[in-house]
Amino acid sequence: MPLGAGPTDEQIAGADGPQGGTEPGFVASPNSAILSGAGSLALSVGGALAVGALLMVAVGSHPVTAYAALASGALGSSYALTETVVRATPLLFAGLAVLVSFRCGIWNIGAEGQMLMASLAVIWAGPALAGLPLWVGWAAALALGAAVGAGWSLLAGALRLYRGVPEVISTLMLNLIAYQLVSWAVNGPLIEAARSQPVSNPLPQALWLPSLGGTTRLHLGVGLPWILVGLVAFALARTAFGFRLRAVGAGERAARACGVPVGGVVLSTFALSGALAGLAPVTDLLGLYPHRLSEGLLSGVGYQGIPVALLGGLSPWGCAVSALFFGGLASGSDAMEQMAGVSSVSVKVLQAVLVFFLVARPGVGALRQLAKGRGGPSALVGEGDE
Amino acid sequence: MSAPEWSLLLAAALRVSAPLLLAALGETVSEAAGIINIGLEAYLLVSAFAAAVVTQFTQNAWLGLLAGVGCSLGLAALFGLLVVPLRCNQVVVGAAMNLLALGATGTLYRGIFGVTGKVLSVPLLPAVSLGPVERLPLLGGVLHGQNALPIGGLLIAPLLWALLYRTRAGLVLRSLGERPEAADTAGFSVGRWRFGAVLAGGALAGVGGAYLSIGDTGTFIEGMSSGRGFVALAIVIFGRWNPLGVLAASLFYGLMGALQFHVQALGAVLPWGGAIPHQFILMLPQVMTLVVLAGLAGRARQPQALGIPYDR
Repeated sequence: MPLGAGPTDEQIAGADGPQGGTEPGFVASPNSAILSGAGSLALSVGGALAVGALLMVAVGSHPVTAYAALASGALGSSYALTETVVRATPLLFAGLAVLVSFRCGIWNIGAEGQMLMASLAVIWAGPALAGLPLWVGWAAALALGAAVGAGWSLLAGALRLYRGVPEVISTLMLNLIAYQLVSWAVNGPLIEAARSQPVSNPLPQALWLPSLGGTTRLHLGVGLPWILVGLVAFALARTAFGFRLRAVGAGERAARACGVPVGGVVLSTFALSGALAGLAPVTDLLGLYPHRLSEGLLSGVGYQGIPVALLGGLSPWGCAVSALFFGGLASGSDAMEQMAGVSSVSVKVLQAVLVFFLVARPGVGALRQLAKGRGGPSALVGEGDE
Repeated sequence: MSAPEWSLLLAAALRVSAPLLLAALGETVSEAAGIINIGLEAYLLVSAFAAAVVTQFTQNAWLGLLAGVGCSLGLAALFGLLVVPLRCNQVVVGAAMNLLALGATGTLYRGIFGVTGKVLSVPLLPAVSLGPVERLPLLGGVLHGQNALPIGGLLIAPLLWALLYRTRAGLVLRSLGERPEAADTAGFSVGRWRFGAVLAGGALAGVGGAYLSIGDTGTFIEGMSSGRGFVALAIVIFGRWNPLGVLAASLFYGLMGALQFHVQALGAVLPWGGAIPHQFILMLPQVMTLVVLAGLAGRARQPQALGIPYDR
């Protein structure tokens, strides 16, 4: 069993079957296909590392040297450890944002756009917020980011609910629109005072979060996603809203038949997911040098939330562990680039291959069962690795 | 604008639209069969890279094209394996394909050419001579100097339309996207047909990707597909899942892209002064896609079984 996935989810998913609840288009019971046993997690990670090693050989580096450099860059010193935590911070927000959507059966891949809009709003409002007392200023900036992220996400939610637009497409389009808006802003109205680079002015210094330790980049904000992990875990497992969210994810039709107000749950989940995504760049803007917005601020963090959430088995605590893992890969990959000459973008390959292994497990299990001659829809549900 | 200016503008529009058209036509085939691939970007990027590298080392752009399409087909086979027999979620796998392509091309590019910032310069595919067609007014000017890929795209669109809507194979393909169980009952292997559609999509998008490097710019830059795969997804919807609609939508978007440069060059201004920021022109297709999908400008209906793995 994966961390935190209650048996009820799988039973509901099983009752509904992989072909049930197909109203919104893209996929039937998402959770059952993704939540599967933790037993072969290590195999998936190992497989991804092996593919990464092939890539390293292809560019003429020695995998052992490269992975050793990566490990030392992620874990080898106290500075490396703090950098791992710093890099994990936005990934954890992104992972949580993806997680709540996916658990509700919503294929929201708009975290990237929601993050861009949130950072745009905070940079724009920064000078006005700087006049507020410290804690109020931080809280206002974070609340603004969360609200704008939620609003951008709700656009897709409303389009799905009222006009039947699949959120996969609408969130992708909204990502591109957000990117163009940011590009316009940092080349136009929000360009820095010196006007030499397409970046915004830094946030006013009054809003910067205090550093937590000398030369490291640790700042007060790195604790925030960890608090949210606890809150999301509690909300999913112990509140009526969390139960409804999971019920909708397990099968919309069944949930509706049981009296769950599906529309309201779907919209709330879109908003929650967008708010979580919106907090990611705001925390980094408040806490990390250079405190500026640029077109390349995110470089795909929103999309990387998908591997983070999947590796975490779509559970909040699993997500936290997996964000640390990917944060370590990110900080370690810089060391790997310097010491072993393997570009740090190779980490994206590891993420992708890991996703392939993770999502293929239930299908492989089902095929194996079919081969054994006990096929049928039940073979598809949840029992990934026996 | 004078006639030569129009030709120049439309020729530029054709160049902008070619990779979008090819990728969108491929996606049209795959979506007709019920498979959505949001990883089109990956096909474009990997093919652009492979085409540039092979052309660099062989100095033969045709071999580059072959390599680009070959690598794109390889990716399509991986995608097809995951989403057809293994029934993985198409959205998740597609998103991961994009990460894979960004990471793999970036790593290999820096591994092969270093990070020195030296600009790669490779020979382009030769221009096609169209003989008498080039003497036609306007059209001749538009097609003059274009290579085989944009012209091929223009020809493939009506052929694909005929294939999808006027042949038995097209009917089977479309039934996979609407009611796969019907095709299954009629004795067609849903898995094989869908896998084939995914491969066809990969091949066409691969041609589009190769155009980016060896058809248009003569170089490769990391991340050079820069969102075209997503725009192509929008174009499929905008073109109502119909190859001819896709052709029109691609040309429209190409015109917008070309106008963006033209507007800057001509210094055209809005009535109230100030030029339209080009970012707003670039976001038009995305905005229009949302408008079309929301049913505010006619109905768009996607294939009913789109994105749903088939399970007998």
